[in-house]
Amino acid sequence: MNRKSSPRFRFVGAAALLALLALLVPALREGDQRLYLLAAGVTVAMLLGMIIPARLFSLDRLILSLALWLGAVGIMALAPASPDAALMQLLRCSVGAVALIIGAMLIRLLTASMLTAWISSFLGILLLAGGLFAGGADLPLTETALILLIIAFSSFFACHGGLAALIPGLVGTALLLLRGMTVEAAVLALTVLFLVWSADGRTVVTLAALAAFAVLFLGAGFLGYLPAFVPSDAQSASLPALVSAGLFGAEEAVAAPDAALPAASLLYVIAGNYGLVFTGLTLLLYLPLVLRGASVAGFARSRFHAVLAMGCVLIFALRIPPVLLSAFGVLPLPLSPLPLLTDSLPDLAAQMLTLGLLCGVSSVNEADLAEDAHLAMLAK
Amino acid sequence: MKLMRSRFRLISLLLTCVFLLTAVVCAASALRQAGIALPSVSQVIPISGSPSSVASFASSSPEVSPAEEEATPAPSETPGENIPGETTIQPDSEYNIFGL
Repeated sequence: MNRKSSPRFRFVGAAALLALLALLVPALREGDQRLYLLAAGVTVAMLLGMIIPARLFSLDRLILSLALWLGAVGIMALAPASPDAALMQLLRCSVGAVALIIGAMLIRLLTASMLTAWISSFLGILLLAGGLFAGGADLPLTETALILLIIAFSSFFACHGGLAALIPGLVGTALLLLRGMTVEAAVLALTVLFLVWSADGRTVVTLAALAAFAVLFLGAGFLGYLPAFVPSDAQSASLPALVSAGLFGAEEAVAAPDAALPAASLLYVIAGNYGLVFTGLTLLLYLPLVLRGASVAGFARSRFHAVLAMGCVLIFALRIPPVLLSAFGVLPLPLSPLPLLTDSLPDLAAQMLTLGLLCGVSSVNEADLAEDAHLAMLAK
Repeated sequence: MKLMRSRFRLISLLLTCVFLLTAVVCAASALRQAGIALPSVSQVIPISGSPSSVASFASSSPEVSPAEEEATPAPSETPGENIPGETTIQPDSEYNIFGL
């Protein structure tokens, strides 16, 4: 047991030590007490957050560690130039960690029933429609709405099969298209299509889903709801902002990126302070996170948990390529923050909730395995 | 459930491929942009003939004495551009991987 857990503790220790060093060096240089507070707070929070919840709630250690590390990178990037913003980010990450634990606990309460399906689809559609009817006000609850729609899809799918499960996904995609959020609509549509293809398995249902989404997107294009993807000022400023600090970061601390760039995105601050090499290594951490989530989905015993876990993985993972491709100037898509590297509290909490749901499915899997082992021992 | 799990594995594989392809494309885009202006590379490797980079490069090689430096002619000297006592290091185009 100890042999198995030691590499995990080594990773936790290395992550906490790196965060401590990254925050302690500017603290010693500047002599700012807030930076000392951050260095102590982040290190202790990482150590406690990676060990105690994993033990108490049987959360998946890899998902938990990577989620907390990505959150800590955002704090580390903000700290040298603006300690107050870093303290606020620490508070946001703490709220996110609570959301992660809530997500893990929620899995034990959620069951594949029509009540769950109707409530989650109603709330998800309400949040998206609220954003549509709020006029110019931008409600930052789209991520929460997407998670609710995935829960609705999983419940409908477990109760009634693929065709019924399509309805909340289609309505959600239509609302996102009406709001002009084409990338989010495409992410939701692809998630639902992948889930129908993998979980239902019937070619007719998959083709029907594909046709329905194609009609939605073609209709939106015909009615003029699809925006023209032309390079904007923000996109032309994005790539120079990312590479301006070079491979290993600027000598002076970078407080905020260009005003044209999305203020919520921490990618530019990370690249400015730590350079392209560290940013690239950080971005590569999304891959094990996604693969671990997919592995959790594959090991789930119930269809509801499997579809829900894979839905969480897809809704989390499919957003990363368009964000990166637009940030690096490859595609003229609207710029938006990467998952977990954002200073928007609702988005961060929703993303942590998504990972919490994955951790919850993982703990259910472990409980199933433990029960199997117990039964096998009794049979002997 | 077996079919679902095998398709989940296919989706994982697809996500991995998409992610790695995105990483390669983004890295290529960043390097192409960095080929025009990448301050840290020009700090690490003295590929331009600027006096500061030449001075820092010369100071980092203690084996070469100033007398030897003066005795050693630069590969392609342009009259009037050199500072006395310093050598001009021209980038070899064959090894100029950064395109600067």
